[in-house]
Amino acid sequence: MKKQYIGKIIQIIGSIVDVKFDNHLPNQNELLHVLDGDRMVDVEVLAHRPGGVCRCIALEPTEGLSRGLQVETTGTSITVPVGEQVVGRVVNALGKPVDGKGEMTGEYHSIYREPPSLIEQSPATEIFETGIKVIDLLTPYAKGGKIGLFGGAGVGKTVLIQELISSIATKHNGRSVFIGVGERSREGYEMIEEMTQSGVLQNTSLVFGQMNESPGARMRAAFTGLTMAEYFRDVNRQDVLLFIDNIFRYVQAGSEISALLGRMPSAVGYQPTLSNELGQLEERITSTKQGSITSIQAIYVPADDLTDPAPATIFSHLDATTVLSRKVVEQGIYPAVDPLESSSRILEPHIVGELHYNTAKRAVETLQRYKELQDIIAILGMDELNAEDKLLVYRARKLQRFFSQPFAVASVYTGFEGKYVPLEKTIESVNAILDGKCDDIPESKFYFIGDLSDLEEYKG
Amino acid sequence: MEKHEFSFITDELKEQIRSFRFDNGMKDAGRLVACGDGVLTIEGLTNVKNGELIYINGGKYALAMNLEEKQVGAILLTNAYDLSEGDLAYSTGRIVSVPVGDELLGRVVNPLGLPLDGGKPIPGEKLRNIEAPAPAIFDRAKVDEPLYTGIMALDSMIPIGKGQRELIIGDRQTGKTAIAVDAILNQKGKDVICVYVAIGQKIASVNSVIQTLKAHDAMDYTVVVCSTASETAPLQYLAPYTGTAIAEEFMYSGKDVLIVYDDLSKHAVAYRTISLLLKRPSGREAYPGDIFYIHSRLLERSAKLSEKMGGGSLTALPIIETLAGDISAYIPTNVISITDGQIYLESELFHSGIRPAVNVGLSVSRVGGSAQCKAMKKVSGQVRLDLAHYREMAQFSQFGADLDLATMAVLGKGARLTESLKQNQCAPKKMCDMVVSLVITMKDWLSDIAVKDVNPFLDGFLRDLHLNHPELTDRLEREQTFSDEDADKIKEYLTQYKESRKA
Repeated sequence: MKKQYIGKIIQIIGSIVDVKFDNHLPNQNELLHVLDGDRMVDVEVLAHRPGGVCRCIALEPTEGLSRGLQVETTGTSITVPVGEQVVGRVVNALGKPVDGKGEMTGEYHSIYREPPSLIEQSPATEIFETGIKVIDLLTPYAKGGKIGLFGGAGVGKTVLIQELISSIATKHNGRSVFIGVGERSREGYEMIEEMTQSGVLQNTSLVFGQMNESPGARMRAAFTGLTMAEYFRDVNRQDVLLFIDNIFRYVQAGSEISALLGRMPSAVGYQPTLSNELGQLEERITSTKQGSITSIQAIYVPADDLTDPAPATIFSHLDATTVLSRKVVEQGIYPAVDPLESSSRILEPHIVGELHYNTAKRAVETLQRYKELQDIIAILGMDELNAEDKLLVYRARKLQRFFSQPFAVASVYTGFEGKYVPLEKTIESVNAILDGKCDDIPESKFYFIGDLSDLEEYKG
Repeated sequence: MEKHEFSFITDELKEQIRSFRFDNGMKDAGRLVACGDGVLTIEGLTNVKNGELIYINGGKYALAMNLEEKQVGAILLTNAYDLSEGDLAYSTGRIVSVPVGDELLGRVVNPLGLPLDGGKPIPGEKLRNIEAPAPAIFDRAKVDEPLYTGIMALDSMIPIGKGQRELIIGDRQTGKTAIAVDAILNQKGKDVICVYVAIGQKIASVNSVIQTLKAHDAMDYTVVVCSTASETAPLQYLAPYTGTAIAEEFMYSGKDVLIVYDDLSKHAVAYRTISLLLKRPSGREAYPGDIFYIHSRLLERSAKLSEKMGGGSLTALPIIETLAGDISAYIPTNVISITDGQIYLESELFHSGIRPAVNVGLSVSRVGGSAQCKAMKKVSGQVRLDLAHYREMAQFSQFGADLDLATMAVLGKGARLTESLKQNQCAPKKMCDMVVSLVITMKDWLSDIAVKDVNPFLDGFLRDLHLNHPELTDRLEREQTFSDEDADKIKEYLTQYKESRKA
């Protein structure tokens, strides 16, 4: 048992609590307990100030705290349970179980550590299939890679991540970790329900620091889940699937704390430490020679602006980015993937093969050309286009519609059964559309089908 | 030696003078050292809690916000007249709480729970803190029961479930409040309690809402919490929390509650005012860093509770006003990212006569689909997509593209569907009427009716149906299911009705 030291609260502003210690100053990132009658409030040391004062961030609401309350040191940073004991369990941002299935008594790890070094890491080069046409074709995901789903409010990020969980996690043999950062409690509840029913829960650990919690807790939730995933990777040497919904909320919580700390705001009001904070988290989400972490991260795009500092900084950390766009939503196409904004590092002929690469390239070129022609059509009308361009426009529109797909998790809203389309079928169908084999089928038939064999009119 | 001791004493004295603090035992009392703009600086009050209510001589109240090392920053909840430096302040030991319970039904109160309707004082036997934690994940249940607004465009395409948070967003004068008020009116006789929170509204607008509610006998099951534009920013800031506390009391006693926040843009502005006056650092658009958190923790308190917790629900309809249709501004996207969907109203649609002016493409309900009744789900599954495709097609076909027959059919059906979704204010529709209208338009049985005649025709047919075939409409309303045989019957009746019109 480490020696405990006692300090005193001298200032409280929002979630920031200043604690004065007379003789011993606790370390940075150390966890402290505020003793408020029979309640104990956790705070974490963020900085040292002159005069033996620790500036701390509260991990719980500070309403009801007063100056002069005693604060004890713990001698450690936040530690969370790891290993087999967390499988099938639900914990909060601080690693405490919230599912009522009892305390965890096994191993605990600190949530702070260094990312794996250069020589320990291994790059991702193998494609893994999701069964979602537009993703498999245009932004193929890599095993052990980092995948980002970008999108503004209400374009379908969470539905897409849920679909990926239901299509990948159910087939995955290793462990999965789901981290809910700053999202809705209702979604947390539905996620648990869904996972219980599909049986994914027994291989999964869930961490929730939802939007009703203090910024400190929201920010730590990401580290808590990540620490669990790292343990599976490094100690159990497993392949881990890591889902994070939503990384932007981690940045947002950081910016709330930054403003409360009185740091000078940087571009668009973000914290000056934005890229460091993000680097500390993202560099730990990686695959090593021991095991892999395939991470799928949802990223909220504030104000639909991809040049906003938060999404712009996150972009550079990812291997594949799927961008969901409101323009596509307005056309009634789901998943609302913007094929021209999305990209993947492994879409290279030597990784995915010539056929896949060339098909994807052709599809993107066709859509790009249609985009350029749209301005001309808007001004001069379709009749002014030459025959070749007209044909291209109709094929591009069919392709756009073909990229819509019914999701298993969305069947309650759409009334369509979910469809899983293997990659070869996608490639075959896209080539058929681009080669003009479907020119006489009306474009409205292409909405929400699987591959082309779903069309009665298609002769193959 | 003597001299040395002497200087020791003066040093000691100097040190004591330097470190003198206004304390003299005033742990629960303090003195005003500055006041202005509704912000007070108080010395003393060493025991005051964060968020505690402070009483100031002369019957005024303030809220402790910043507990600094030597002083307390507080915001004034009442007006600032006759306050002066040196006034005494006392901590009350209470976090702000308001009276709750059945006696509030039909009343209009301010954010501190004081009556504004000229009625008798509220006894306040039961108090509730206005700040409370949101229900935990494991205290929740699935949103699976519909909350009908009586507006066909919403109940079919953007359905709302009990426990859902659905944002109403749009420019000024696009009918945001009208939708919320219609939703309240439609709860009549459905055992749902409503709370309407007016934040920073002008008194005349609040009054007209109250008059509408009274005129439709909706005040019996409604509480109005009102902070008008002339009231202090702190009071406007507290209003939604007060409303939520009142609503929570009903929710935790197992009832279904609907709360309307009109509107959260003004709430954000009020909070920004407070933060800037308290000299808290500001971020984007000068809003403080925790602007997201004040809305997220408010709206997360709306939920559907599990059976164990009594099974009550709190459904929230927050309203956000946009400028020039910009839903991607800071506060709008913040709130969109908190709620379970949004109803987006557009002024162009409003002016071109489509009312409610719902932009179906940008409106969404993330959970409502699973809460729809069987009949509605069956007939409305395709409505949203059909409309989206119709609009996209209509835009594309403007440019003289060759139209095949399939496309022409999509366009005709889309135009009739759009027409049939128009609806007047304060005229909620019954579930069975909506289902019947949707079946007819979706099956394209109106292709022989001119677009402008769609609504009169449907109204006439529904009247005829209720009169001549009540067994069908009654069963629909009661059992909330709809079978293919029902569709056949409706088709038969429709043909008869068309015949009778010709004759």
